[in-house]
Amino acid sequence: MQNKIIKKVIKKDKIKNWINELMKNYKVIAPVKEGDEDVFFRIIKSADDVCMDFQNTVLSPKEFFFPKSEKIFEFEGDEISDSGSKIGRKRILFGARPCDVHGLTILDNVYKGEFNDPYYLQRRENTTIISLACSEPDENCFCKSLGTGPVLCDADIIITDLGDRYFIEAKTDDVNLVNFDIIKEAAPGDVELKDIKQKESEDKITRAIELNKNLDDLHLEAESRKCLGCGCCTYICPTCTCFDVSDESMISKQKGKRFRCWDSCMFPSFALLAGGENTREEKSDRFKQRFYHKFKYYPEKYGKVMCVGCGRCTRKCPVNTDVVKIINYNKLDCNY
Amino acid sequence: MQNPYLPYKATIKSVKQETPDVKTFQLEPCNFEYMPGQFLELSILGIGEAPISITSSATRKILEISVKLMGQVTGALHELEAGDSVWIRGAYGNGFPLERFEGKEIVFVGGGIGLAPLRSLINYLIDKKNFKKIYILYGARTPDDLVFKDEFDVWNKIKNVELHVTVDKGTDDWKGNVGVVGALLKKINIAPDAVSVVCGPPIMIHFVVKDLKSLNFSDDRIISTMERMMKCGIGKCGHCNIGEKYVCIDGPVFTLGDMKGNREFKI
Ligand SMILES: Cc1cc2nc3c(=O)[nH]c(=O)nc-3n(C[C@H](O)[C@H](O)[C@H](O)COP(=O)(O)OP(=O)(O)OC[C@H]3O[C@@H](n4cnc5c(N)ncnc54)[C@H](O)[C@@H]3O)c2cc1C
Ligand code: SF4
Ligand code: SF4
Ligand code: FES
Repeated sequence: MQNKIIKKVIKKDKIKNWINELMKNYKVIAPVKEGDEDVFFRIIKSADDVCMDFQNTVLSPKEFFFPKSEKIFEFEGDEISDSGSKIGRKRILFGARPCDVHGLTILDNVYKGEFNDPYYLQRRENTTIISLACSEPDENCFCKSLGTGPVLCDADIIITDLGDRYFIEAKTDDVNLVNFDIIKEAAPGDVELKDIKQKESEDKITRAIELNKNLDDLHLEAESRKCLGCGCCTYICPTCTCFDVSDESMISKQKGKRFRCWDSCMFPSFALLAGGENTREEKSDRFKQRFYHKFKYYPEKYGKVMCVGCGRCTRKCPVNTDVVKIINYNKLDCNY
Repeated sequence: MQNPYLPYKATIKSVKQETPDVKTFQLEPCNFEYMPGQFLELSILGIGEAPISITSSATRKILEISVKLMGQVTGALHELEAGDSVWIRGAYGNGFPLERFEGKEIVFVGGGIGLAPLRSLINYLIDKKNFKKIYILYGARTPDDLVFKDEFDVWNKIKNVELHVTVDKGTDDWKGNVGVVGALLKKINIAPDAVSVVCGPPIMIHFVVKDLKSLNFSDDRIISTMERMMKCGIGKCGHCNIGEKYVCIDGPVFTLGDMKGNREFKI
C-alpha cells in the first residue's frame, strides 16, 4: 500500500490527552522545561511535563539514539556479555524540531554501512518520530539553506501550530497513532492555514549558509586563535558522531565493562598516539578538521553537508565562533 | 543484529621475545579469516583495545601478531603467557592490493616493528609463488631491535628472495650494514616496473619515499600503510580520519597516489 499522508487536527487543550494515549503503549520522549527557560528532551512520566512552547531544546534528541555514554559489554572472569544492544519498549520521540530530525538522517549514514552500529540502529528502528514544526525560529537558525526548513523533515508525523489547534500530517503506516476521538479530520481551511503558517515561519529564517564553497585555510587559522578548544560546539551538535571507547574494571580486573562516550575532534588527545606523536598537534589543525569534516569530507561521501542549521554551536560558543560566518567568508569582502 | 563491537576469545598458543620490547604472539581463534595487510582489534578486558597488524600469512593456517610495548594495552599483553586468553575482532582494513604484485619485482622496505605487516605479505607471496623477485630491505636502530631474526635465514634460502639488513648503530659483534634503510636501495638492481611496499616510523617513510622517487618509482608503485589513532576499527568513531579517508576502512594500505592531495597527509 502506498504511504499516503493523512491530514488531521487536534485542539491545543487536547494535546495532553493525546500524549496520555501514546504513553499507554510507548515510552515517550518529549521536551520538558527545566529551570526558567531551558528545555531538554526527557523520558516523560506525565503528559503534564511536556512543554510545547520553546524555540529549540538546549541539546538535540541525539542522545536518545547515541547517548553521551553507553555500555558496550560487561565481562566477568573470562566471559563477556553483550549488555548494550537489547531492544527496549517501543518509543515515541515527541516534539523534535525538523532540523534535529534531519540530524538523525545524517547520523544514519555514519552508523549504517559496511558495518552496522547495533546500538544506534536498534534505537532508531524502535522509535517513531513526531516532529513539531517551528513557528518562531531563532535568529541563528539557517535550516532552510540546508534542504529542510522549519516544517519539512523526515519525521513519521509532523504537527504544526495553527493558533488554537495543531495540524497533523501522518503517514498511513502510523495511522493508529492518530486514530483517537480527540483528533479530527482536517478541513480544507486547515490545510490552507497550515500552508500560510509554514510560509510565515520560513520567511522568518533570514540566515543562510552557502554550499559548495572552498574553505579558506588562512581564515580558519585566524578564527581558530580565539577558540578555547572546549568542544562545546561538537557536544551540542545534532550531527557530530565521534566517540571514544574505554574499559573500566574493578581492582581485581576480574569484572568490568567496556563503554563508549562522546568524544570531540576539538580535544588535543583525539589524535594523540602512544609514544607521543600527535597527528593534529595544533589547535588550528583541530579547528579546521571540524569544518572540513562537516562541509567537505562528509558531503563528498554522502552528498550533503554534515550540518542541519540548528544554530546551536553559534548560540553556545563562548567566544562567538559562528559557523555561518566562517563558511560564507569571502576573502574579497575582507581586508586582512 | 550482528554486533561488530563484540570481540571473541582467542588463546595465546606461544609467545616469542623478538627484541627487548617486541613480542610475537601466536593466537588460536576460531575461524578467523584475513588477508595480508589487514589488522585486528586486540582487547585485554578491563584495559582496552588496540589495532594490531596481522603478521602471519593465512596460507600457513596460523594467526600471529608482533607487538611493541607502548602503553596500556600493549603493556598488559606483554605480561601474558601461553595459555592465557585475549579477545580479538576483525580482520579489518583493505589489505594489500594483491593483484598488483603478480609476476612483479617487489621491493619491501621496513623499519623496526614496521616489518610486521610486510611479513604477512612476504610470506603470502612466497607461498603463492606468483612473483618475479622479492627484495626485503630491513633496518632497525640496533641489532637487538631487529624483529623476525630467525626468519632471515629462511628467506635468504628461497630462490628469488633477497634480504638486506642494516642498523642505525652497530655493536662490536655486528658484521652487517650500518646506516639508514634507504641506503640499501643502492645495493639492488630494480626492474623499472617494480612495486615497492614501505612500512615503518613516519620519519623513515619520509626518507624512503624520497629515495624511491629518485629511483623513478611512480606514485602508484609506492605502497605504504598509514597509522592513525583508532578506537572502533569500523569507520564509526572518527578517530582515524585523515582528510576524507578513514584509515580503518579505506586503509590502512594506501599508495602514494591515493594520498597525494589529501590535505592532512604530510610526508
Ligand atoms: C593499522 C594499525 C596497525 C598497527 N599494527 C601494529 C603492530 O603490528 N604492532 C604494534 O606493536 N603496533 C601496531 N600498531 C600501533 C598500536 O596500535 C599502538 O602502539 C597501540 O594502540 C598502543 O596502545 P596502548 O594501549 O598500549 O597505548 P596507550 O598509549 O595506552 O593508548 C591508548 C589507546 O589509544 C589508541 N592508540 C594509541 N596509539 C595508537 C596508535 N599508534 N595507533 C592506533 N591507535 C592508537 C589505542 O586505542 C590504544 O589502546 C598499529 C596501529 C595501527 C593504526
Ligand atoms: S564551542 Fe567555540 S571555543 Fe569551544 S571548541 Fe567550539 S569553536 Fe572552540
Ligand atoms: S554545526 Fe552547528 S549549526 Fe550545524 S548542526 Fe552542528 S550545532 Fe547545528
Ligand atoms: S577507527 Fe573508528 S573510524 Fe576508524
